[in-house]
Amino acid sequence: MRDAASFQKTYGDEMPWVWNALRRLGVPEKDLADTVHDVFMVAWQKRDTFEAGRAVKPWLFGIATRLAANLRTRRASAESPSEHVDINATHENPAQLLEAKQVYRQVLHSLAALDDEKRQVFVGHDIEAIPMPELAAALGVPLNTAYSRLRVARVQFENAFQSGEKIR
Amino acid sequence: MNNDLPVLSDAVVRALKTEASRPAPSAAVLAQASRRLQTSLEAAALGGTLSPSGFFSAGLAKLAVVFALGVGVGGVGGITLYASRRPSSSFTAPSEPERSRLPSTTAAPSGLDAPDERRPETASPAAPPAAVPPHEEPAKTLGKIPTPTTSSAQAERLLIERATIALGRGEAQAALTACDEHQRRFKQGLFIEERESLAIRALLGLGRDAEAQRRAAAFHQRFPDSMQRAVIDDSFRNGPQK
Repeated sequence: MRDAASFQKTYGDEMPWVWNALRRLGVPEKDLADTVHDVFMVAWQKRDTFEAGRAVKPWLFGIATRLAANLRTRRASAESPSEHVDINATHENPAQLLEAKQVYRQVLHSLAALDDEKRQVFVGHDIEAIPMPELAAALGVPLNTAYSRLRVARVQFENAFQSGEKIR
Repeated sequence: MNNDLPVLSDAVVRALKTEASRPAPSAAVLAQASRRLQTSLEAAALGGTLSPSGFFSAGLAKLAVVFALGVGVGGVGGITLYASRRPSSSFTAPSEPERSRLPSTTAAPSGLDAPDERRPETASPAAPPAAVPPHEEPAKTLGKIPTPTTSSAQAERLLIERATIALGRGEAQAALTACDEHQRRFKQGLFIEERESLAIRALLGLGRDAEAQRRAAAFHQRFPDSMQRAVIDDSFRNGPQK
């Protein structure tokens, strides 16, 4: 991770994941490429802080959450969440693709109902499956705080999702 | 501690599973992003003495674009946007041994190497890592515009950097001139999309809106999936440096 070769492998492996994670964290489609780029530039700058042997995803997720939050703060005007779906994606048939797109849209809209702190924990734990202790460390919050946020986030997401489902 | 976590409904659990398996961007998009990152890492090695904190403490915010040279070229995000999104952490240049270890421009990251028909024929497939060119000093001075070298890939990149810096300074004519030179010299270059994006924004900066429109229409037709589309569209709405 600290030398160029291993860093190159890291971004080769993790770039697709970071891309989708940033989308879930509320980065608009037009800013995704820039923000992905920034995540890895920051990672390169901070590579000395990465502890060998630790999982890289929580560390990258921590960087991604901060960049996404900064971007969202600057873009105070509410932007619709990214709904882009790669049409080259591997879905077996158009009906599946359509259904998946509806789910993506609904999930992103429901995530938009959460504030940044709750969204970060919810995305990190319930979508990206990062263990809570690692997630809390990556976000720089006590474990109890992370659980507390997740608790509220789940309720809010569930409500937003169910109300969206009724509209749909 | 997590015993009292609310249990999500089955519908939400299914939706989250679907979201979690959302496909990655296409290989072409990822390859483009990887090339850009690669270029930035190399540029960071070349211009690593630049520090964002140094810029802003010196009141030279306008020159933040030069930091964009240090961490990313191609104008993919637009100069102002790019400069404004710089992390607050101090930028540290890779040490000399690290420079020599930086991967070469032609080496795509593992698993992301998409066929690239635009790769210049003159570029050596075994180009050396991005070390400082032997006959050129690294860009250590704020605002120094790099001069192309004999290396085709590097010369191409430096032309793009020159256009990027010029546009960031508001020197649209200089940016356009660099783009024209790039177009003349690198018909099959690596950074055609970035050049066109810069040229369109330069034309807008010069008030040549009709030309910019025509060039943007041609760009959209030629590169329908390009990441530069959003940058170009944004420049028509918010100005060339937005």
